[in-house]
Amino acid sequence: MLFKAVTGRIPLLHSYEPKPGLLGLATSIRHSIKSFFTIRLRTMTLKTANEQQIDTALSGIVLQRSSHTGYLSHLKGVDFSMCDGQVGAVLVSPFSVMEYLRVVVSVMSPSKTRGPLPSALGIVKSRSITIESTRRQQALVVDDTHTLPLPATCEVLDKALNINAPEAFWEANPRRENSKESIKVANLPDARESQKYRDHHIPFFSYASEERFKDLFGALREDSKIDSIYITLMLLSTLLATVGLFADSSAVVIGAMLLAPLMSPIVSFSMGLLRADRSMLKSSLNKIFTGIVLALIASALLALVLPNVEMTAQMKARIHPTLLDLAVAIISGIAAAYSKSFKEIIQSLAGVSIAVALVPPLSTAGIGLGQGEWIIFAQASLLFFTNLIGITLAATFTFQALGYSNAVKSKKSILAILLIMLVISYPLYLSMREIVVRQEISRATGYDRFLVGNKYIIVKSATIRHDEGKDILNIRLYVREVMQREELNILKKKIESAFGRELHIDATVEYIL
Amino acid sequence: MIRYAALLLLFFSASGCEQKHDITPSGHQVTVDIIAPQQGVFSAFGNQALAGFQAGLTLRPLLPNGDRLEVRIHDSNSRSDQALALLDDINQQATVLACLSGSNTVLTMADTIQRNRLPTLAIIATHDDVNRNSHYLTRLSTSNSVESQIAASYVRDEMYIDTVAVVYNGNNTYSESLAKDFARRFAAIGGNVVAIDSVENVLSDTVPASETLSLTEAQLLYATVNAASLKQLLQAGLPQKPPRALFLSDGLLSDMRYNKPGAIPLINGALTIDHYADDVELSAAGTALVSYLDTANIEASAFVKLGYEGYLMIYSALAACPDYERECINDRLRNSGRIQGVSASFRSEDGHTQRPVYVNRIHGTRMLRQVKVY
Repeated sequence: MLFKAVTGRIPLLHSYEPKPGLLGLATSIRHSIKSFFTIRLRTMTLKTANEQQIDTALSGIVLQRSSHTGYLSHLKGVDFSMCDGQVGAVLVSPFSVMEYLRVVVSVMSPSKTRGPLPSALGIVKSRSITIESTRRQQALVVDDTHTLPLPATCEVLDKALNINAPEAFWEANPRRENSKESIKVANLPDARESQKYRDHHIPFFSYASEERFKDLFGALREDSKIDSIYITLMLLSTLLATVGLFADSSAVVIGAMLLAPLMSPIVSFSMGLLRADRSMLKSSLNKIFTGIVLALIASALLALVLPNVEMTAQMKARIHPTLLDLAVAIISGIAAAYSKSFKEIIQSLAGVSIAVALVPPLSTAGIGLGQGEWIIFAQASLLFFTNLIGITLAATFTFQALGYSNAVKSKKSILAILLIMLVISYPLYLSMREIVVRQEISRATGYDRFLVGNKYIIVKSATIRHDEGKDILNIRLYVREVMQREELNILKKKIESAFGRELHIDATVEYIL
Repeated sequence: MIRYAALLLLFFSASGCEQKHDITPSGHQVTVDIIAPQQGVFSAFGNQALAGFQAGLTLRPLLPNGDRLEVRIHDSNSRSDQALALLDDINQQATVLACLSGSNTVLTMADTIQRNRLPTLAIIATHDDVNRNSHYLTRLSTSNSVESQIAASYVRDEMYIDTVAVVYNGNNTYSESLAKDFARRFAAIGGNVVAIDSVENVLSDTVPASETLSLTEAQLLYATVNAASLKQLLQAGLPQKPPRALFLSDGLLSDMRYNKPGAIPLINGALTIDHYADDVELSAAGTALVSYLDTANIEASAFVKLGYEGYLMIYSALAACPDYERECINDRLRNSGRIQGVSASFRSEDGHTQRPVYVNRIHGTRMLRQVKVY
């Protein structure tokens, strides 16, 4: 071997030769992208000159004399030299297509700064490396020209080649005697673990490690159980939110969001859906339902006791849900599942709770219930269920992406939730469209003028809002002459015709002198 | 469960689709007569409006009942007497008439149209008297009085200009009446008209145009002249002592694009009033027109768009009168109900079309909206 030898399936790395320009890179990636999904891990054994034996599962190996050129030059910790009397091997063991993509991106990075060694790679450096594979007919391709069947040994032969080079070359590449054998394979799976991948291609996403899975699953199971703390916190947060809504205090409402314990059973419910864990599904659903009923009753009773005040801004903010709220819920669901998966960032869950408020909409719905305002109840409930559905779906798929299951196992349930999301998306879309139309109207009025009789009316500013089931236009007009009631009626008709809707118009008229 | 999901998706996708009905041709046809100046001094706007009308015919050839629309085009040679003679010729057989001539010609025809009870749509004429005494003439364009009022108010109240000079074509009724109307209205709201004169007088003097029009005092020149006169006027004197602003009558840019394209840079930055602006969103009908014009390599000028809207208005009237009786068609033309135009909807009330107009600023060959007046 003069340059390199390769065995196994390692798309892009196998015969990667950097082509000039981004277009060349894109073409190579496009051709190789399909083969990413055919990667398998095979049990392989490597033996070094010092009789070290490495049993692991690999998709392929690259043997190389020098790491100073080519794609290995981008990786930190890879130092293969032609002058140290050793041969280097890069062992490739991705647990998922995503992990393999990370490897490809690392080695193809145009940055001259060396990046860290990806976790899917291992390094072995020795005077001699013997490779064995459990797979029959696996071959080692040497310098892209020769093919040798495995097992094969790659050994450095002293003085096998005479190089006539100027002195400057030897100064730049001094001979390094007695280089130590080096083995970095701590990240790679042992042969036993690799058995589970033997008959399958690697999945798109990585599987979570046994340890992480055990910790999280235990915590989620605990979260799905009803206890007195949950009931107390649920009641307190609801009462706090209700008072905050009545007092129109955003600080109090945020406090209630932080106190609310509803997020945890929703996240457990998501995991239950993913793994079709009946007991977790049942207990978390029970906990969520109990929380909802408690919150509705508590806020409805408090609304009966508290004086009947006008709807506050905090309440109004909870009765016009749009698709943006669904987007917030989905992003929060991803964040919730992600932060729950890693102990180090579990404190971020508080931020998620604030971003996607669960208790304030429930409290608003309860207030509507208590006051017999069914529209408030329905609209606030829509917001709550938007949040619930968004979080559940996003958390389920995030857990899948993080490797807690290779597929959503409770297919019927997830389809039912998807259906509900589709159904609630329609009113959310209508609500969103309404807001967009109103903003467009407000913006368009900057250009609008009206001619009534001979009176030229300038619109200086206009805003539109929805209140009491009506679109209310607040408009400021400049005009030279006093306008009669009949002219004002014509103006109203023209404005309604221009905006294509019936409006209640509050106009401020100022005169040009 | 998957079946329910599929059904729901089908429901949502179906509810989001607009249903289109194909019209089956009935084999019958109805003819629209058109009098247009295809030759002569007004051929520029006559031919452009005709192209718009024919675009409408191409895009919507069949009425909802399957009857096919056809057009019979009569060339007036830009002469009022010839248009009048043509009117006498076609009176017996015509169902509805589209007149693409200017105000002078339509004013000449107005009495005959009334006498013959021929439903007529004046697509381009803007003079207020066009349909003052005729119950069979409907005007598609905004009237001169509306245009002059908007121009005067905009100049006075939005540009804060106190002094103007006004110039018009003395041999054109439309031009003169619009200019004088503007001057009267501007003065009525406290403005000062320092000079008003015909372009023929201004250019015949030995004194430079800029001085004749007292442009040293005027902050704005309001010109209702045609492209040729404006070019002469601008080249004669204004570059020496230009006013602060130039305000032009409707259709002048289209006229210039057709007749004096080389002079367009002279009016860059000028204000004008038009039914359209080039930077506003088009309706579905407008988008269809522009796509067709692109394919046919026809410039989407204001006159082309007016011709197209004229077709839509006549189409709407004929669609509402399956027996094609003149009285019915006339009623529908005079009180049309809401019609979706190129960029905004419009409707006629007692023969006067209610439609928004734009105060635009000319930028190259485009008209950019400053305000939209309803």
